[in-house]
Amino acid sequence: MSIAMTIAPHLPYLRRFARALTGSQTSGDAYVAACLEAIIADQGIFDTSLEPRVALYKVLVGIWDAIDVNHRSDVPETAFERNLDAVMPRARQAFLLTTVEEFSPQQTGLILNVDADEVRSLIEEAGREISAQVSTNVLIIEDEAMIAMDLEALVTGLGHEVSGLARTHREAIAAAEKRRPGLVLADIQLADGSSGLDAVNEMLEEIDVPVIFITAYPERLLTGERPEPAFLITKPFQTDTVRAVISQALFFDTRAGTQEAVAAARG
Amino acid sequence: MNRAEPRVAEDAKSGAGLDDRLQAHIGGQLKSMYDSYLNAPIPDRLVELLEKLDEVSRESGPDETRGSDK
Repeated sequence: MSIAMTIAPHLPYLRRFARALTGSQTSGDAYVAACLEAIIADQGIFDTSLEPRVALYKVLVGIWDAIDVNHRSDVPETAFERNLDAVMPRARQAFLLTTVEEFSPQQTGLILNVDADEVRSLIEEAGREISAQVSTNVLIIEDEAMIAMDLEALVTGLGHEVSGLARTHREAIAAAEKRRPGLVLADIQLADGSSGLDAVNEMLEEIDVPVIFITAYPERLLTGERPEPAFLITKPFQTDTVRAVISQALFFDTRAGTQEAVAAARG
Repeated sequence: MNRAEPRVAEDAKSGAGLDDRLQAHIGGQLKSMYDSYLNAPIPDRLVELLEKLDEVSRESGPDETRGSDK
């Protein structure tokens, strides 16, 4: 089979990878084109001893590393692409290759020309950088002391700071005014009979902030009457679920009622 | 986008960062957001390059690889 026929089925995936790596489709496709041009000029750079997809990505990564991409003019359009862009190039490659492209650590090592230990440390570096990039201060609106403590430990464990703990609507508004939160975790039914939902809606009139609702009564939120919350966690919750949703909300910078929010919240 | 205050960012850097599970979760979400690109038609420019590659690889023969330009 010719190299072209070997490569063709992998091209959509290579475009996806290049797009994720560069932050824009135009830039990504320019790298894919450069990759094909390089193979046309010297078919020897496509290593036929490797799996075709691994060999193809290896050529693209080689080109991306060789060309100075840090001075490019196009800035990633979406929040999550800016978050990705902030991760150092090699760590970003390792992160995308293993997660989005689903290469094994061994395949990733072949593509990046590094050993398994280096792949592991690059992935850890990506985790630290993403974590630092999205770290923020979190307002917790929760009237049950034990749950509030759990949430506080979980939030700080993820590298965030708790900017306020509120038990009522009034306390929540006061806390948000005192210090603007970068994320709100909100229970719905509060101790004095007030509503976390009302508190959040009042808050959102003043500030734009991602909100995660944590409630034992999810049906009360899904009325279809107002913008439905992007993130809803049902009590009792699994710690891992809350951690995943917090990280997701911040990485994708998800706000209620936006298309991006709906897309990110699914699945 | 200035919600990450420097002090907080430093705290996070000294911590463990996103563990494997959280990275896999974010990666899975990213993957689903990029899924539409997989079904998008390949741009003409890339199709032309593939055709050109097909031509030159036929000229040079399928087994000819390293060190041969033409």
